[in-house]
Amino acid sequence: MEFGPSVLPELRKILLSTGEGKFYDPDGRLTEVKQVPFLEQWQLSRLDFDPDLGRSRVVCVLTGAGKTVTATIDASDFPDLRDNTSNSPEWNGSAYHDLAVLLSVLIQEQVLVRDPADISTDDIRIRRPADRAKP
Amino acid sequence: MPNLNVTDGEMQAAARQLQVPVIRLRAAIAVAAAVIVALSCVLSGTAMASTAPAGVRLMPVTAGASAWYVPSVPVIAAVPGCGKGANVRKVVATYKARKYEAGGYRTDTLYCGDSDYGYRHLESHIGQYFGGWASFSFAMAQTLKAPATFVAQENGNYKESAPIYQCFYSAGYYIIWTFIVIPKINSGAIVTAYGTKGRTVNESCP
Repeated sequence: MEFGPSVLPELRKILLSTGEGKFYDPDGRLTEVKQVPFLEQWQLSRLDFDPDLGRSRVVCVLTGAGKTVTATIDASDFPDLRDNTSNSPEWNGSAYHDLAVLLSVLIQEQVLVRDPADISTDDIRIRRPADRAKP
Repeated sequence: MPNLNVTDGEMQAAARQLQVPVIRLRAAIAVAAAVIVALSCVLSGTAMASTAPAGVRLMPVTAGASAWYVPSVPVIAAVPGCGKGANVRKVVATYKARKYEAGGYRTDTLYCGDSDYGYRHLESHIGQYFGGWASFSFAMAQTLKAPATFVAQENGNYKESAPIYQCFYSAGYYIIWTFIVIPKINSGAIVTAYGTKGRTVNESCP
């Protein structure tokens, strides 16, 4: 099972993007507007297919505050989205395909929002939570 | 101010020691320079916090004034009805959310969803945030209503965050979380939410 070719360029574009951020004081007054990197305190060292497994695994290496985390993404964990050709209006409002958007959300919540010092492992397998709606 | 970093396991252990059956939640907004939203938790009794009953009442306290906070849904259920068979578009809750581009508010919606968005996606984070679904939903509501940071992201989602204070008055300490909610920009459907970087401060809640 392999990923489609568009997942890497789309995911890279999202991860390296910046977005306009608005900052408010405790009274709700706007205090600052500035560009905020999607990666925040992290840097993207590498984003590519696994040299041994090819398109069946994406390897995303992130570094922050002296910590290096290798996030692996297996195509077998995303069988319905691996082609990266779908766009679900229920949760994807972007110009990118579903897989790239979902992976950006998962990487954000499993790595990027965490303090590098709080991550105890060097390797993280990026997966979606179990779908409890399915029997 | 003495700070003590604790792990999720340590917080769960503290919860077990408290053994409380009834939770009453109060929230405090804007009490310190960096504080926008605060969630306080009064624990008493003999059962676990995660068993918060339906109908728990949430109250925010602003500096000098207080009023009952009534969420967009009449009652926050202890466990939303998103079990097997529940439609992905079933509405779990709606939240009053600050608009990004203009003044005023919009309504953001949490659906049952699936493993990619909504309640079923964020369900695994609820256990990481001490206090169960009622506290989690309340933190979502406060973050969306008064975010401290509000970023429009390239992937079509907003990233909104706010500091949340979770107070344990009887135990004399509080936990500061950075709570994050990720709604879709164009519809307000909530993709995910989570509390991060919990830090315990061994002082009474501000």
